[in-house]
Amino acid sequence: MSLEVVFQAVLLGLLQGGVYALVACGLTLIYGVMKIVNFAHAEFLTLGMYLAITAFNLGLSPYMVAVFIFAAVAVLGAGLQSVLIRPALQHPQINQMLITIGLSTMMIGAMQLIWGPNNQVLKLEWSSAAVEFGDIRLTYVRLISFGIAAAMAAAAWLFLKHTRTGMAMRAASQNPQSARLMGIDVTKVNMITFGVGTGLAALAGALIAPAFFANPTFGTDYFILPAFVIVVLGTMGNFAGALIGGLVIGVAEGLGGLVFGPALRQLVSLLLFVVVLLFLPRGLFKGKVS
Amino acid sequence: MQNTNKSFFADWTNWQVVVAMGFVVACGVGGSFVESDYLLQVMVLAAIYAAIGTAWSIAGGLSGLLLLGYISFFGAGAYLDGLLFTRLGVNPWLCIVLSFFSAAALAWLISLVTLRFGLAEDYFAMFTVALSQVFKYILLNWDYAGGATGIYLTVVKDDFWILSFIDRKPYLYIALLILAAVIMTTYAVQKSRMGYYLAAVRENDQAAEALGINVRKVKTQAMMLSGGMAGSIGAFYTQFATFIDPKQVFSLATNFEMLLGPVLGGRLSIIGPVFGASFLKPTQDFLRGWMGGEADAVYLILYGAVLAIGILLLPKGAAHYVQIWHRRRYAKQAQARAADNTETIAIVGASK
Repeated sequence: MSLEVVFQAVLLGLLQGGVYALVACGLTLIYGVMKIVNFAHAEFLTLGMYLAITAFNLGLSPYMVAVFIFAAVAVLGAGLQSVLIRPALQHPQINQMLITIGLSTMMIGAMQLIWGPNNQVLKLEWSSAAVEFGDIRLTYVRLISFGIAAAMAAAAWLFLKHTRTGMAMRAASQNPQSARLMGIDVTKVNMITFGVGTGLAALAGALIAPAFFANPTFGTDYFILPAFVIVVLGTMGNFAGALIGGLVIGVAEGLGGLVFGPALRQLVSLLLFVVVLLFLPRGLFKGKVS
Repeated sequence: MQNTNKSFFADWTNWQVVVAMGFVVACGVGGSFVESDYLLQVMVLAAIYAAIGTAWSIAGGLSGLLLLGYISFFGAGAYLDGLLFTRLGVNPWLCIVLSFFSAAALAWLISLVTLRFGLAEDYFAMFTVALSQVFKYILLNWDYAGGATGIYLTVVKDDFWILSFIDRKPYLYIALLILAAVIMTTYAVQKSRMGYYLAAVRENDQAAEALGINVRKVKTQAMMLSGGMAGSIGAFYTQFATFIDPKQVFSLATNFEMLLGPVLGGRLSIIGPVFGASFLKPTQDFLRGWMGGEADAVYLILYGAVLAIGILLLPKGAAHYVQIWHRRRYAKQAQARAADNTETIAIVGASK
């Protein structure tokens, strides 16, 4: 196994990790503020993929519409939250989790109904074009997705740090009751958080659409478990943790795939998950949305 | 005062166990008249789901543990039976017993790892879910266990000794027997001291700890009991289905389907899981069969909606309302009895 092969795996892992990070950030945001694990998160990613494909079939480049997909799904997510999740926020956790599972099933069914159960593809003419140096080959598609993902992550970070709404979200994640006493409309913050979180997942979906086949269960099959691992590794609720965790897991999976073979890539995430929960249950970082 | 028949039923748990057992017996009797293999199949699966749901309710309901990845135990038991029976010729009845202990041991290990440092419940939930998928991936790639092809029980003849029958009816009776055993176990737990410990832990585990309850030990015991029973049910399932593969017995979708019964039925109750699964599983099977094919997507939407809306409308499960009815019904009797007692005391007092 040459050094270049390993290097390629690491770089690919980093690029993939950037997308993972975006998904994980959304998930961790939702957990941090609302304290629920959104089991339907992967479906929003899949939805983003499908929307990008539909846009492409209408002649639009997925990268141009990515931000619009983010916005559209964010609104959808916020709506779903008000209808399905908000009424249950006082109920026991298992109920809330099962509601998101119900939502997940509904979304899979809806996507299957609208786009059919078969694989869909978004083929750009330059899908195979790549940057090459030495033996290392990185497709433009992956590079651009990483770039946009990084930009969006930075934007989200700035949003959380410097805008009133972002600060309200951070406050609500630390202590919803105190936040309410301070005059923050926690109900609205919850809704916005869920919207933003799911929007980020959909954005990630739009970005990876050129690189993968889309089918209704794509998100659940390939992205939900790495997302969970990253969220736990980066400490649940910690935004920066999710970013860094995403890159770490991306590389780990890349190397794992190299060593164990592509079929077992998922197993690497799962085993990492078990290991992280065993030894680092609170993740690498302390605290909440930082 | 001596315990009359009436005050026995006045207790909610007692009332439930009689109703549940009565239902099991009725299903057994009714099942003996059913001739359609399809219908019997549906009934056996419903009984299996009811047993799983009731077994889950010890850890997931009574103890309040967020046992979301329950199928890990079911699948482990299923595979243990499959492997031991087809590869080593171990008697299936013995396998059912062995699966109980193996699954319980697995539960013990999981508890050891996750029930410490006061880890948040969410971690526990995600861990159990992830574990089920780890098993799935390992088994998918393990050739000795059949890999993706799974395990086939090639011997299918009428032989009670190896738990194999051509007709579906004996399977139904055994499934109902297992369900009855699970019901009685849950009843015994609810009535015992352990039941009270679990309830205390569920309501407020810090207060329970302060009262001297060994919270970790009690939670572990509940996990072992629930997990063990799921293992046994899984082992039986292998014998019944005569074919298992990792995607089937470790499926996350099936996992959540199994939780539908107890959660919508009422996970703190006995009748909740039993009737919940008995109603939901056959309905699901019929809907799926009726809709099938392309309408599978519609089925998924309906199913997800039922789950989400059902939980929103019935957060405590349907059994909660039955309990309210029961309380009202027997409250009148309790009042009458109390009035009798005071009269007796008054008479006795007056006669002194």
